[in-house]
Amino acid sequence: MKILQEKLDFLLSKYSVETKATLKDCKTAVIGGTDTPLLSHRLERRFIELKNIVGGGTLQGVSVMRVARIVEKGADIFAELYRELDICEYILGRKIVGITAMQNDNTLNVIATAEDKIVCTIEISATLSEGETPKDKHEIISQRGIACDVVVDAQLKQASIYVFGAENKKFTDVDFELYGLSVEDIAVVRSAFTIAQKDTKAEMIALDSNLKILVEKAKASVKTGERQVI
Amino acid sequence: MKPLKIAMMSMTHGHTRKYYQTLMDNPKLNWVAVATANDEVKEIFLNNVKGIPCYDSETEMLDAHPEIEAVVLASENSDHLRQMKLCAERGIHILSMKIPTFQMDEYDEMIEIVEKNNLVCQIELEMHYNPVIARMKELIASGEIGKIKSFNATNITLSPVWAFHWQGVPEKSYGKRVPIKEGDTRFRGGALCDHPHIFDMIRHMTGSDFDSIYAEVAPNIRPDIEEEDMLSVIGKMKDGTIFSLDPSWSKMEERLKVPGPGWEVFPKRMEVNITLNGEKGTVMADCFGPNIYHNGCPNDRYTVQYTYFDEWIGLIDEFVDNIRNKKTPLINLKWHKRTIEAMNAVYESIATGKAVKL
Repeated sequence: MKILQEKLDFLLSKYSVETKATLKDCKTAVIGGTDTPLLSHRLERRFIELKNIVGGGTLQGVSVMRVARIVEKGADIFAELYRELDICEYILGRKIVGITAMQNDNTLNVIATAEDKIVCTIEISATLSEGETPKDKHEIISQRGIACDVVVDAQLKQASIYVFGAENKKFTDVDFELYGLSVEDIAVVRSAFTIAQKDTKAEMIALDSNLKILVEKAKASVKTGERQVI
Repeated sequence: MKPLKIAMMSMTHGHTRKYYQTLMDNPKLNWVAVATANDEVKEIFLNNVKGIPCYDSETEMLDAHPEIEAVVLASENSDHLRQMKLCAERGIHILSMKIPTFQMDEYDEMIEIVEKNNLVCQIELEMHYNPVIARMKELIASGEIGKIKSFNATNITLSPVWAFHWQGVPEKSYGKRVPIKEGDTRFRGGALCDHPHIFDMIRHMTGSDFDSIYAEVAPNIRPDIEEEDMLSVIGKMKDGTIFSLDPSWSKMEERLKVPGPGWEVFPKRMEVNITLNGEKGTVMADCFGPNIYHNGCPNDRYTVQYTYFDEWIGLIDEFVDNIRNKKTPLINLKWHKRTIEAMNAVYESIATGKAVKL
């Protein structure tokens, strides 16, 4: 967290942002004295571009958004659902209005309906070994085109660099200003910085509140086996 | 072993052409004749296969070739019962397309006909003869990921309705015209009716049966067809395994009358991917990969060119073995009934907005 704070301070100083921002963890920062949810995934460039493609008219007549995410054993699947529901709402630019969920221990499958009757499917599992990086895929299907963060005919995302030497390594570097940080850590720093710079604390708190309601509805659906309307 | 004398009927099903090579090459078969349902499919057949007698009438073919022992019913779903009766009258074994019928009264009649006449009736679910599926089954059996907790799968394709018109006609695909839900202008009979494989495969891989199903239909990506083309399904098996199934026509196509190069608008025309999450880990599989890629003729579009489509070899080998050695097919009418019931439950869930208990 120290390195992330250093990078955040660097950005705040470089761009002359006077609001104080202190990272508590990867999900929360104290910004201008207020605990603020970061929703850092919104700052991942892949999601920003997917949102631009959907909202900018590249895709027309959106029908379905499909999400799959697999994370380490022990992770909170409902925290992952919180993240993925927000990604759906963010990319589609629409609110979730209904949710149905099925759970089996550390696996969770959800169908959520958004405004305009768009259907989102979200498949989550916490089944990977410790230390394994999350595997995920986000795909939007429309009357005119499909957008996805995984290349066609592949199951996993590619890295930017593969090293085959004494030790095999791979790297994915996506931010020159924050060079050296992982994709996820970059998003955390960028998120805290953007909230401080644009003063969007209230918006983030409202989003967090809405997402918590959605997650509670999903939990209720798991118990009842029926669709919950928001 | 004496080669099995086999024929084909109708030739209107999308899988018809998959049989050409196997029926010609398999030494266990003697391809006797075909009966085509109309001039359009007759012309396509005659352009593709030489030297096999082609008849305009099923009875004419059967009368002319009493030696026929088995028939592939390469026909629209609404013709299956009638053709099964025709075969049963003559003691002819049956290879049915993947959906015998969605009408459960018809389905029970089919079971009765087959049992009464002591016939082999094998359902064409070719994924069982796919090498990636074989490896998956092996991995499950060896306990690689422990007990399965969730089964998530896609069976997504382009829409065949422009080439195989009956798939766009609810009465021929689903068996009758049933609104998909109140206030919706669409009818049952679309993408779901084309994609039973993953509903079948989960039963084989978990060894369990469907407990509850919830489904939603999404706005069509082809607004001008009268059936559903996008839907999502979740649910639970009796052993607790949860699932998420996507049987959509989510890959856009050029509206070709005869499938061929340039069919794809989206680069990949078809996908069956399965992710199994288990107690000890996860297995992710692409049943049709790896492939090769090009952006050549006719549309200069980046396109996935498949490298493996040999499922019909194993399927036909099993069919011959079942007949010659009087075995019950792996995918027989009785086994497959619960898969069809589950698919009907998908439609029921869409119509009612509620989870359906099976």
